[in-house]
Amino acid sequence: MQRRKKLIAIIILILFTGTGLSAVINYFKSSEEIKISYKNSREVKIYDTSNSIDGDKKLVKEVVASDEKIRLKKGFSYSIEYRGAEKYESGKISFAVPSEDKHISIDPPYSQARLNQQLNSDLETLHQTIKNSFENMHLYEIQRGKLYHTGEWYGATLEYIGQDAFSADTLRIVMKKENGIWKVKSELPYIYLSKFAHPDVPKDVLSDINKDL
Amino acid sequence: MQDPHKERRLFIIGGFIIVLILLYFIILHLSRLGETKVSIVAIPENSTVEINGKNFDQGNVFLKPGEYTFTAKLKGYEDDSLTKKVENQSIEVSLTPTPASEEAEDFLIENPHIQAERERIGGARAAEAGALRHKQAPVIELLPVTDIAGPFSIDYGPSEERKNGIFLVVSDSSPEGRKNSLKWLRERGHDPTDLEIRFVDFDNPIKKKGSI
Repeated sequence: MQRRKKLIAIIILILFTGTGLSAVINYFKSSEEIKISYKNSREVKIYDTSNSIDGDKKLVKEVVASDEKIRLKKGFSYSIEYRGAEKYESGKISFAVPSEDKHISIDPPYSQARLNQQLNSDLETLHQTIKNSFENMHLYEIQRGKLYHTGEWYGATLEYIGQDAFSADTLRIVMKKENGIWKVKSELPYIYLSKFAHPDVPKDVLSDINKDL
Repeated sequence: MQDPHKERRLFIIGGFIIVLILLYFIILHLSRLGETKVSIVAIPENSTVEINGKNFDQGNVFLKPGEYTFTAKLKGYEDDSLTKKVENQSIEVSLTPTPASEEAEDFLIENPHIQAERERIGGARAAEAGALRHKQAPVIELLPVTDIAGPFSIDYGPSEERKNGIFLVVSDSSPEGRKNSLKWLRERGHDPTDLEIRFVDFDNPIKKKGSI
């Protein structure tokens, strides 16, 4: 009788241990660890947007320090909202778990006001660099353009002012400031800027330069 | 006289074995957390298989998500390599080294079932490459297209620079037509930034300094 009770107790113990271990394994399998890094930002908050209706979202956690690792449930969608530090843009990043990229970095661009101010001082240099890089620039009028990110990327359109109606396309160009010097990053100004022809240029910069197409 | 402790000993040993077996499966399962099953087959079957230059046996391997180059090698055959992305779902990798010697060719003639399997795998890989092209550039499902009012025509072809990549060709166009061709793509949800597009009617007036 005693022996039977012991046997039952041991079987129950094994079952509980197995169940407990399964639960632990399932927890790790059903969630994923994501690392959040940020700079020039504050009030970084993660929201669960899986069941959002009319913009309703549920706060999951406020990221108190950069490089914090957070475990999030798989099969859910999230957004990270942050406020930019002074003269930096605020923003939002949406992502889903599981995610290919397990490290999310927040590095906001300068505010538009700050970028405009910088463009005012760099504009003449930018346009002169373009004119010095190519032949037949007298056929085009370089538009003001925009700076991107922290002012190291510049994109502009070139409006045709020549006489050949078959060549009257508006062209686009992208440049980067490297070690204080503006360099042209397009082989030639072209009708649109492809990510394949500009593998080192951030895609959001290219898409914005192309946006009026 | 029966040993009164015999049953107890058997019971303890049995329980110990069960626990060991359970532990083995649990450790095996835990060690494969975050890894994906990849089933590798190479035809002929005596080919050696490498993953990123390291030898592996054919059959099931467990790999962390990432990009891997799978190669099958066999004497008398040209290596067959395939680069694939391993994500969170199991995948199959089939490799078929190409005969590069008389002996290899004779072997396949004498073993038509092996050649048939090689051809089946070749067909499946070609279909997969086609599906991948469609996935990378779903716009090709809309092409070719001609818009007389545009005016423009858009067609496509395989990219020489990018494996499984495609490029679009815009022709029969004026400057307004080229602009409208890009607008046509945008209206159908395709960002021109993500595409390789060649405007065959456009002769760029701008040249690099020193090239004129």
